[in-house]
Amino acid sequence: MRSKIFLFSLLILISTTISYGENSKDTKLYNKIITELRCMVCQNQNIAESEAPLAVDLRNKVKTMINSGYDEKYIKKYMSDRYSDFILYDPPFRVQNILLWIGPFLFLLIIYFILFRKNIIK
Amino acid sequence: MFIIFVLLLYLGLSNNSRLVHSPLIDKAIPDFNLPVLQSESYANSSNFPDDVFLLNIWASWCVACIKEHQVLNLINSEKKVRLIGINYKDNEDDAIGWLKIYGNPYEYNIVDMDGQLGIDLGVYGVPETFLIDKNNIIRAKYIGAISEDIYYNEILPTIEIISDEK
Repeated sequence: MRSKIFLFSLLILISTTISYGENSKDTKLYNKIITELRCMVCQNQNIAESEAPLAVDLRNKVKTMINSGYDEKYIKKYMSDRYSDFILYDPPFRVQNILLWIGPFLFLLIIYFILFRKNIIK
Repeated sequence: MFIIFVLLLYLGLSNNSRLVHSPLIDKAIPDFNLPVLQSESYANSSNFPDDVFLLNIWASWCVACIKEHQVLNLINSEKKVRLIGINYKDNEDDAIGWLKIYGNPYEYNIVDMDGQLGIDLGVYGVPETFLIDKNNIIRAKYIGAISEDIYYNEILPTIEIISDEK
């Protein structure tokens, strides 16, 4: 009995890995893209985590676009053309969001400058 | 330094991140070909009026739409701007029943059952309303229910400006 259960669970394990392995390149791309797109309805989740109707629609959209052979860059542009860069968790470097990219370094520089000046006065 | 930091945090708090600036502003309405509610005909972007109009996205399942609908009825009674609806991801019977109960201020309603036009218009919070100019270019987008205040103080002044354009 025990060996049968063992065999059965082994079979299930293998079958799930096989089904995941199916067309794994597309699946990987799909999983990558949906975790990098923000759910516009519940803005602190990505569309992979969210069950909002729009997130489900956008997941399906990403799936059909991958199946039609579109690449990641095209799909992300498709989304940001409609929902703005805000939908991308990794926004592109642009003039409008330059502060977002250089802000932290600027902040570090200012703090360093302040500390350094204090040392000189001492 | 501290004051600057506090000021930055305050700005971050006061900035309403739910309102996302639409990248579609100053662009043409995306192409579509969809059925018209309570009609056998189809609507597409080429049979939009050569006139300033409001494109309102609504659904019978949308609670905020009920309140907004009073304002839309008012807009329709004033006849200062035309009003076309997009019935978004709805059931046809529900939509028709809803219009019977709350009134129908729309010239016609485009049926976007699967939400593809909604995606093309970057819709994420029904109701949403687009202000379209004579050349069928999107000029403004209002996310959430339109109030009388928004209509009289924001939308109507903008309509008056763009109505004078050629």
